[in-house]
Amino acid sequence: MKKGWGLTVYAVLFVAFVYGPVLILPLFSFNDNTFATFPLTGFTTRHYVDMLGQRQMIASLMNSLRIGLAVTVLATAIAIPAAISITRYRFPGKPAVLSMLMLPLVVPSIVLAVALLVIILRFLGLPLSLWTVAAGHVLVALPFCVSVLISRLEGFDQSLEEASRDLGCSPMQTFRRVTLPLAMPGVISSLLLGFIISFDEFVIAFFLTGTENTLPVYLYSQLRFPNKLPGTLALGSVILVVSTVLVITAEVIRKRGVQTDNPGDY
Amino acid sequence: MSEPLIRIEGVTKRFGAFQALHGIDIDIGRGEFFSLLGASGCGKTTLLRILAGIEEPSTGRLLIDGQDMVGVPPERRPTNMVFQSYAIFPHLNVEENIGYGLKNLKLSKADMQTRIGNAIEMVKLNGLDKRNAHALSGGQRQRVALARALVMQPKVLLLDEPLSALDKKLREEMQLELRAMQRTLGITFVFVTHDQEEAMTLSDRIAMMSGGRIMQLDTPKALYENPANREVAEFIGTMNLFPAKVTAAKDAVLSLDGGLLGPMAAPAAKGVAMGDMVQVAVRPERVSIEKPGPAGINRIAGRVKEAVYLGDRINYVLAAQGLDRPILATSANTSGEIYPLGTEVMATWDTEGARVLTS
Ligand SMILES: Nc1ncnc2c1ncn2[C@@H]1O[C@H](COP(=O)(O)OP(=O)(O)OP(=O)(O)O)[C@@H](O)[C@H]1O
Ligand SMILES: [Mg+2]
Repeated sequence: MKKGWGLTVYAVLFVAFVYGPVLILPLFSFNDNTFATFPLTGFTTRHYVDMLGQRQMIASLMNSLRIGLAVTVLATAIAIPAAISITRYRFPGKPAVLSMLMLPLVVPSIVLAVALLVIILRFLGLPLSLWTVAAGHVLVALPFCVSVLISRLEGFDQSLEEASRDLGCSPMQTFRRVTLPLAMPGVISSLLLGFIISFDEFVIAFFLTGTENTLPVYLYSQLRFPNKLPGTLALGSVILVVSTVLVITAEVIRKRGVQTDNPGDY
Repeated sequence: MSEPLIRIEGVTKRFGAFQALHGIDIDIGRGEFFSLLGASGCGKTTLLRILAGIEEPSTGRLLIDGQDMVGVPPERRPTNMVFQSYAIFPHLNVEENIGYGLKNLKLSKADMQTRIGNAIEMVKLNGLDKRNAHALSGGQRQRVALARALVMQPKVLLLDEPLSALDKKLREEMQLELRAMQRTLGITFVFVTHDQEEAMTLSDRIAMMSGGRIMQLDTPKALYENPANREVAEFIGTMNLFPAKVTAAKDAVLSLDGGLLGPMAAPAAKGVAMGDMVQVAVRPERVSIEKPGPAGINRIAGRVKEAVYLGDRINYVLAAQGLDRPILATSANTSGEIYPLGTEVMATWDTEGARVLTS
């Protein structure tokens, strides 16, 4: 018991540091005051009603949702064949390909953003828009999607695919009838992850967007107006709840997938 | 043999710098129960996967039913495989697993149901049709894997150590069932195992493999009675080996000098000439134990180091001068008598029971 003490204190402090600031958000979003300061002055849901009235905010939310959806579908669609070739085929330069795929993880997003900006404007001559933001987001989401899928594909016996071929299925049919169903928990995790990464990405969106804003960029621009703050807090709280639910769902699906694979195996 | 169903010609397989198979030549007949036998890592699975089309040979030819199979993908070969790991689809139930390959055959629903039903019957999985794959025992998985391949009615069924995960009793039961099934269906079986007893029980012929090569290809009886070399002799059953020098060869009998072991005689063997150093090989059940007596041909004096009483027979372990390994002898228990430990005895055998091995 004695030994556990230090650890318990550590754990409590850890949780407080990590989640304390986050919980401030919903707290003030229900506080009946325009300024986010203590002491609290009363309970209200007024900020939530205000929030719905802020047309621009809702528009940027919609932009973010649309981009998030497009990004995650695209990134996952690209990640699936990538993960399959990395886990299933022998080819020269595989380690190099894998590190290239993972590179966006370690390149600072500001560097990535500037590089993309130069490429888009100078070399491609494309106008900045939500599409260019989406393209940048696919790039940053890709390593995450690929790793989730790789770990899933490595998790099941390759002889299942060989058995499918042996039983008369072409590579395409095998993908549809064996690989995809078994990789499904990974695909869903990848979709959720890709969405969340795009949804809260700021730097690239800030640099690459045209006239329309994504939600994080919009929220940042509104920080100058104190009276808009409570609505921002309300929206932040909603996003917090929704993304928490998404992440937990992703994790539960992943865990369940792992369980059905190893049915108390030998 | 008439036209073989499978013809393997000079097949080799390299994995990078490692050569897993060296020039394999095998003909397998229609309806034959053929086994690949060998220690772990000798290339059995690799050869089976080449037959299935999951791996391609690095060089060599493979014909099945007269058709060149090189470059033909697994889904278009007349073979089906029972995998070493069973490879049961975890997201499907028993019935769906067994019917997996039938879906591609464009059968009517009724036909498909009949075939699945028959297969379930054949492997005695009745009542488990809807059971989820991950709720099956090891023995049941193995049956699903077997049914899933059999239901395709392949010309060749490839089985990769299908019984190794089962306990002894179930394994022996399944061996009998497999053999019966193979006879009734008339399908050619290529069966991989590292268990020599299993191979002997089941096979028409056995290819004994080692280090990616075939050491000997023969019937179980020939493999046991006339092993081609030391490795085969020792892998299949146990064998006493006595080093000796050939001193004379006449009338199909070799005379040998075993040094401290005394003079020996053995049936003549191909490629053995005067003066060669060879091994005289004698199976334990060919060695009889007698009371000490005069020295002579095929007689070695020894002392009982161990006597294991097994009811119907007695296994003796004898120490003999001039031999680092003990002599093993199995005597049928006809008199109920047993030579106690430490007794001086004489180990003897008939000339016809001995074999000469050069390698
Ligand atoms: N894909 C591969 N890459 C490299 N080496 C391989 C590969 N597959 C097999 N080998 C090697 O080839 C040799 C033969 O393997 P194989 O699986 O055929 O053995 P086996 O006789 O079936 O053994 P076991 O009884 O253990 O199943 C082994 O040394 C193995 O390490
Ligand atoms: Mg093997």
